[in-house]
Amino acid sequence: MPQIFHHSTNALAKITIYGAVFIIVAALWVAVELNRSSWNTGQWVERQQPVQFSHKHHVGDDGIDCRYCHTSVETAATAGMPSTAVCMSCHKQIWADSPYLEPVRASFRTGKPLEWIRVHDLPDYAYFNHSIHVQKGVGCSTCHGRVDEQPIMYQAATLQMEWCLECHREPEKFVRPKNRIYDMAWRPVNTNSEQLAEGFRLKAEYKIQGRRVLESCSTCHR
Amino acid sequence: MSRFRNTFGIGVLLAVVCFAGAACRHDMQDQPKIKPYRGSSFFGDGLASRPPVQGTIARGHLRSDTEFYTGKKPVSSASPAPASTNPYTDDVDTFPFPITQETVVRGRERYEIFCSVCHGMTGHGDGMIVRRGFRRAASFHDDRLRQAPVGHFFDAITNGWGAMPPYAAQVPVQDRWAIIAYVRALQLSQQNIKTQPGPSGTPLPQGSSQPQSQPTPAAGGHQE
Ligand code: HEC
Ligand code: HEC
Ligand code: HEC
Ligand code: HEC
Ligand code: HEC
Ligand code: HEC
Repeated sequence: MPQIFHHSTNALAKITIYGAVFIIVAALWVAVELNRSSWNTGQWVERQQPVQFSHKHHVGDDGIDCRYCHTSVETAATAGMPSTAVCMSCHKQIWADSPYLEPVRASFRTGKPLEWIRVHDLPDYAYFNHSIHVQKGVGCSTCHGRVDEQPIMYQAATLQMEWCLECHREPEKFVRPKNRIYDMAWRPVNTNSEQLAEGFRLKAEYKIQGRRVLESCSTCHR
Repeated sequence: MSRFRNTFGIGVLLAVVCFAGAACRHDMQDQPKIKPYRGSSFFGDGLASRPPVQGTIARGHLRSDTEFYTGKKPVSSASPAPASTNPYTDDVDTFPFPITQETVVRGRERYEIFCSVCHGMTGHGDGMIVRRGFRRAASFHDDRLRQAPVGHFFDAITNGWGAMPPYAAQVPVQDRWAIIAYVRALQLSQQNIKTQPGPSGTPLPQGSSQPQSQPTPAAGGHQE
């Protein structure tokens, strides 16, 4: 019987065997990157809403505080969405006949709530609570980015578990003074140990719990 | 050979588990439970939560303290003063609880969230929304509003006043009184500069309730 494979194919066989290792590793790497990409997490994706509501106009230009509309952010798990009556408190008089506001007026007439499309949506098996973060010195912009510069809302963080844990492991890198929580321009300075000392001071002042609580599975999966 | 078959079998099993996991993911992600702001197809109106039956009073929420919850005097003690001298006969004229430093600080914070957009940081009625075309909001430094009893302010916040919308849904009762305490502090702070000309407010230095002797020409105290 003649040889089917020539001697030289031995080398090829060896290359494929060792190459497979690299291919598998590369495939895993691609999978991990895809998992973190905005294609999977929805990060940076702008969602079109039933009303062209702009945070840039309302927060950036008009200086309305987050809590005027998201009233329960300091006291409840959910930040709270403004009712149609809240929009109408101003829009009964200003831009009262703008065509962009027709859905709001229709909702006010009929009593049927506006249906906003969710931008941030954690899976139902994860538990999140706004009030604890706001009370313990984590500001809106740490998680939601420069809301005052977003004409259309998008998700500024991946909202993946590793993102939550990055902060839960070292909150001192992210906490800020209480009076800056709603300050969209605040940036953490945590590059050297001196600046981190401020974070540790705030961490102690807010009595932020240790890693045992903040990393425990049942804190977020309850 | 059987070793290879085992490995191969485990490989297939892993792949199946992975794909099955991917398939399950959305069931766990969107569980058929009711969460805040999530709709429901169960009721005709599409809302998940039901409004309480008219007249329901939650345990511990009987609003028996009329002065605290309405800013009005209890009917029996309302003085029958002639309406011509005092238009606010049934409004209470004292705070229903002692005002402390914390109340005023809280009031300032709440004022700057809910009122300053129209009434301006200093209460002259020239907030950002007014500058964008809303009807001019009342200035708290008018003589009429200086003399108005606190209950009248409570009424305006709770039920609205003329062109002003009601804020009962956004501002809890305790905070409404705190805001009024801060408005009183604002009125005091602006008392001796109220003769200054110009429609725009005189910004107070942050954190100070001292009257400012040199009014700056720039309008309002907004961070723009
Ligand atoms: C005038 C009312 C108003 C104010 C003030 C306001 N918001 Fe909003 N916010 C809305 C409305 C309406 C939506 C839903 C439409 C949308 O997603 O753009 C929303 C959506 C959001 C969302 C996305 C919610 C989701 O679907 O996941 C975030 C995050 C948010 N706001 C943060 C903020 C922050 C931070 C501030 C303060 C800097 C703020 N908002 C001030 C009205 C307001
Ligand atoms: C620690 C990170 C974090 C901080 C700080 C934070 N948010 Fe959020 N926010 C989230 C996450 C995560 C969600 C998605 C919650 C969900 O899907 O259940 C969310 C959702 C929202 C929503 C949508 C409604 C809701 O509650 O699900 C609004 C509105 C909002 N945030 C506003 C704010 C405002 C205003 C602040 C500042 C006072 C703030 N957030 C601070 C992480 C944060
Ligand atoms: C405190 C007052 C206030 C509230 C509350 C408010 N708005 Fe506005 N809105 C404004 C002002 C002022 C403008 C003009 C923005 C600008 O050009 O700076 C505006 C502009 C708009 C526009 C653009 C109109 C056009 O024709 O260009 C839309 C849409 C809008 N608002 C939607 C909403 C919705 C939806 C809500 C409720 C969640 C809301 N607004 C609540 C003050 C308000
Ligand atoms: C930027 C920092 C930061 C990020 C990001 C963050 N957290 Fe937190 N979280 C904190 C701090 C600080 C506390 C307060 C801990 C304490 O109770 O002392 C906290 C507390 C909590 C608690 C309450 C813990 C308790 O006391 O029972 C939950 C639940 C929680 N976080 C969930 C999440 C989830 C889910 C995410 C991601 C979507 C997240 N957090 C992202 C900083 C953060
Ligand atoms: C700080 C909050 C937090 C803690 C603590 C936490 N998780 Fe998570 N976990 C999340 C969030 C948020 C998600 C959703 C991630 C997403 O949407 O991709 C998640 C997702 C998961 C998933 C689904 C796989 C995935 O990544 O999508 C598993 C499995 C999981 N967590 C297991 C655990 C285990 C085990 C622990 C304890 C060692 C733990 N988690 C602790 C917040 C947390
Ligand atoms: C959307 C703009 C707006 C907001 C926000 C607002 N007001 Fe007003 N307010 C007005 C306008 C406009 C008037 C004048 C009403 C009229 O004369 O028809 C007014 C009038 C008043 C009056 C005078 C009533 C009288 O006897 O003339 C009081 C008191 C008052 N507001 C208190 C408040 C307080 C306290 C807040 C914060 C909780 C607040 N307002 C928030 C627009 C606003």
